[in-house]
Amino acid sequence: MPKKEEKEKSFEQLCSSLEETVSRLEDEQLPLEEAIRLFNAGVADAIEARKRLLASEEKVQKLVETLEGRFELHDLE
Amino acid sequence: MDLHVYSVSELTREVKELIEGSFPPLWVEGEISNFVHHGSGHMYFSLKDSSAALRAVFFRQYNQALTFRPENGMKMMARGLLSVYEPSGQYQLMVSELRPAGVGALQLAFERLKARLAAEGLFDEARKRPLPQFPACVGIVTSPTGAAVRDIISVLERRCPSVRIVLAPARVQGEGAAAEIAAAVRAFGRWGGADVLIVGRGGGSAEDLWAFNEEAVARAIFDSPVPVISAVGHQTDFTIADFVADLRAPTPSAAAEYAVPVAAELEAGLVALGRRLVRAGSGPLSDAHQRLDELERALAPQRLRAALRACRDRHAALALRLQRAARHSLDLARVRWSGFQERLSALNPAAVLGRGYAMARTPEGRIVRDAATVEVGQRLSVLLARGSLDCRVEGVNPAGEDTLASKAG
Repeated sequence: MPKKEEKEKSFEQLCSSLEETVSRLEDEQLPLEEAIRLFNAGVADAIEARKRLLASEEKVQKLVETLEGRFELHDLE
Repeated sequence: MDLHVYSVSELTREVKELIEGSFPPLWVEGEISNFVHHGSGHMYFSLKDSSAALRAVFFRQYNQALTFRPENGMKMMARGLLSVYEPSGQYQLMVSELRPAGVGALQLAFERLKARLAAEGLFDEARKRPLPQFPACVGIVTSPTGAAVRDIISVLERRCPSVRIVLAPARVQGEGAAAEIAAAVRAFGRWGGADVLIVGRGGGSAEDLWAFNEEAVARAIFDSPVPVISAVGHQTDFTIADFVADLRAPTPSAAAEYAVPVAAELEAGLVALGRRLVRAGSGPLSDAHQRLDELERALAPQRLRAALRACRDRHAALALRLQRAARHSLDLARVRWSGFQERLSALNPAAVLGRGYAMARTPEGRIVRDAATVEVGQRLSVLLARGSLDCRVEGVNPAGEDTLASKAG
């Protein structure tokens, strides 16, 4: 499971890649191998997108700029 | 008893010095009356309240900056110096600045800035950006203690629990508020982690909302690389920030609704997509299954027998056709052969002799075709249909006489 790559796919990208997978499967006469590969990729996207959607961010954070111009996020009391 | 008698000028000068020396530049508020805009460009009027009046003069070089026409009855704030005009013994206010009093003053500044920024193109519809459909992180610029931040956060969390919320705190009213709001917006721009910003505060008086009408805030929003939703006060309040923002929300809660989609709706969409995926994906799979089934059926014994029978039948039919074809061609050959035979036998010299012709040959076996090639006394053998004759030539008649051809002619 390439966790790293999926982290880099935004929810939006996951959704559009899933859309694309579905329409390719629906519209194209694909060789079985390719269809299975696409199907698996689609399932992975769907699961990841759903997970992303239902995850909850518990904390509201505060944006703090340090004197050196770096940014830090602090938890908001 | 030395009685000091002032001259008018003297007294007036002393009064002038006294008055002008004891009042620094000041603001005075009152209602305009007796307003005159002189041909010279100077304005003369009185400021009065219920029980007093003050003469005022507003010279051209100062009044040129006015964006409105003063009229009798307007409540005004005038800034200026008290002075005494000796020729008429009048004390008056030398006005350097005139503003509508109270909310009117703010309103005026608002209109002025709005006109200037509009002319610069800060409010152009064309530069308003669409908001991201699925922001991962929402940035908020507001007071960390007000109702607005609580409203925004609760709406965001209800709609889309997975969204990250980052607040850049700023005071939203009072001295220095505009600078803090602008700085917070710019900080988000430099940080780059937020996908959309909500900049605002809850409702309040016009003065409370004033920070959002300041140029610093307008510029910061205009320069923001991140799309901005403004949310200042309630439904009816429009601020400069609202005009510059990519989207204006009537309230902070509404801004939060614009900022993020409803996760539950998205999830329904995802589930539907998932179903389509399964349906679409099972298509090729079931096609493959079907093909396999067909192959399997094709290999079943009874199918095999049938196939064999079909094969045999086809084979038999072919054989039959082959036979027929062969016979046909033999027949043809036979017909052609007999024709050939006839033609051949017609050419057979024996058959010619049978019809009564004879063939004369020299002793060397050369067939004689021309009488001119034969000499008198020469021996010839004459071949008949049956047997032959040895002859000696008695006479030679050259061509042209007594030939078959001439006789026929």
